[in-house]
Amino acid sequence: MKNIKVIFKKELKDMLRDRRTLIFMILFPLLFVPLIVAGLPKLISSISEKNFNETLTLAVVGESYAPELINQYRETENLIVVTNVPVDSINQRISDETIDGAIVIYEEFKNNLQNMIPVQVDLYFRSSDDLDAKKRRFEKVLLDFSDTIKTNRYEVLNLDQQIFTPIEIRYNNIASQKERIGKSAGGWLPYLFILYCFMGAMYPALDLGAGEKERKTLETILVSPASRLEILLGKFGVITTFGLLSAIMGLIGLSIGINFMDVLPEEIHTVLKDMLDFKTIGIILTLVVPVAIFFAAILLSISLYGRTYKEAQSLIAPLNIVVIFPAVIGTIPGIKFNAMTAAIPIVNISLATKEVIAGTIEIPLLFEVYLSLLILAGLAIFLAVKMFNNENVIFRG
Amino acid sequence: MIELKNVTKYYKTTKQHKKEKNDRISGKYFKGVDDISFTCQPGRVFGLLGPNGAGKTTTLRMISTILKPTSGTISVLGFDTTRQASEVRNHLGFLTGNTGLYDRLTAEEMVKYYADLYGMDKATYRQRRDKLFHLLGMEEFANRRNGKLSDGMKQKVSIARTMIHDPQVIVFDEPTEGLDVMTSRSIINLIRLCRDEGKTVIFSTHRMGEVGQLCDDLAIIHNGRLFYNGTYKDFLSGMKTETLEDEFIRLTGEEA
Repeated sequence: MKNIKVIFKKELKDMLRDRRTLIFMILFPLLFVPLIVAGLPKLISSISEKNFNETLTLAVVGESYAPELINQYRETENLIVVTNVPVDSINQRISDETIDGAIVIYEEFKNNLQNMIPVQVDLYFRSSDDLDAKKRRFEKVLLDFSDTIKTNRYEVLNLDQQIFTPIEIRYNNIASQKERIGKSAGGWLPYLFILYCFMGAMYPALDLGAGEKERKTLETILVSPASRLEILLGKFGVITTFGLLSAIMGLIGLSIGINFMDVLPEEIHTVLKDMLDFKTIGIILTLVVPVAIFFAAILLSISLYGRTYKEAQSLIAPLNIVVIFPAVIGTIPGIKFNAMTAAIPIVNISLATKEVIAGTIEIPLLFEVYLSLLILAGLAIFLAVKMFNNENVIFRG
Repeated sequence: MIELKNVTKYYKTTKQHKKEKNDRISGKYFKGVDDISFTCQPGRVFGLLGPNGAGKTTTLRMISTILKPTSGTISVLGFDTTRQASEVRNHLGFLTGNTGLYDRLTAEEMVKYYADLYGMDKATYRQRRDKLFHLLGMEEFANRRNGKLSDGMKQKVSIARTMIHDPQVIVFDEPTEGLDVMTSRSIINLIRLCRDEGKTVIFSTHRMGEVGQLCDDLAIIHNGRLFYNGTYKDFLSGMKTETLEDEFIRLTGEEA
């Protein structure tokens, strides 16, 4: 036990003096998380703002058939109406961006409207993004125009608009806002911790395993009175600590982002603050502990197998996907937290966290998550011990 | 005292071994060391001479408990290296020519780390540390980080690290390999000092010159097997050729 402490203290000191580890473990989560929290909504809103405010050019064909409608287009802000564009050149002009869209009105427009026959109008645009800003801006004028005509017809025919709404649904979602946000967005929170936990543990694991081989210090520590198990546990303790520290730094970064960066809408801000109370954070952290142990053990095993730092690094790279993939699965809406999914490591953290944040966690399932993670951590430690006791691994030529 | 009795070490064959069509391969195994026996006495320097890949490092690693023999027994100061590995390590110092240091620790911290692992109390550590640092002229760079030290200084830190617990048995695995003349000299002086203090010293080398400089007893190892085991004096008087090199080739029956 004394030797484990000696080794732990030495490795901790050694790693704390390593700039690269410190940057990845402390600085990166501390700066990067607030940037995501604050920067992402800002980025999205600035993109959508740009899409809805930029000046668009609309070509009009057949203006004389619907002068009132086209007038409304002319009165719309940030919209330029051009005429004299031949119909057969519309596609080409939209493609080479000389115009943003076109509206083609046909001869029967006025006549059909008067006779209450549906009239067709062609709207041309090019839209491939989700926001569909151009289409929505062009069609808005048409829809408004259509609504005005509808209202007029009700009056002319002396009809009450209400008769066209036979059923009026009143929506009463009893899920609290906390529950809704928790279930939909709560999954990414552990994802963040899992990622930081992995990244924080990765560099110390590389340095304390393969790095020690490469520096040719492994042989001397093996000749010291410390047993292999003691050496392994000392190293393992430091790697776990760094993984956890990194996750905690990510958490601090998150609370800085939420509390001190005034960019989130008031409503979301309040819910987020409410969501991230001490109890929730506490439970999430207790879920991260066995994951940190698992990561530390598995990373150290791989690192010890590598002949050099570089080789170990390339062996660890695919593990990133193995870790990220289940964490992402847990964030997909619709995947239920039940006795089966609670047993799948990493996926279960994302799912359990959603429930914890939403306040709907079932205690037996939570224990199943702990059990599944602890079994996995235990297996990983067993593997690491086996690897460290294997001459063929330690002196792999 | 170190005693090896019929020690054999097999490794699993690697692709490299198979490529070389090595005659040390037997089935799935490669004979790293094949049935070797010798004894190293306290107060004498035992030299293990052989070319690269002869089995020197494997032998020394087995003595140091890092590797376990496939068969045969090794005892160090009466302790069995397999069953009483921890006792063996408590009394053993191990140094190689390319031993690494922790670059982010200072020379002082490096030596203290090992003293702590050997369970040394503060007073004994202080006494031993002062003696070694003075002897090796390490005080001026004691608080500098290992990564900032010259090769010579680094080797001194390694020596202090090896000797801090005053081991009774010291294993030197090609200790002068890759070192300059001055640094090699400090190692050779250290080996002599250890002998004079009555310690058991074993060192491996592929340099014939070092054997003459240091050895009291000699073993010649080649392809995992021993070709000579006796005193250096007897070796010299029994020589049938002019030079050490020629004698080595005559004994091993191998022409390079």
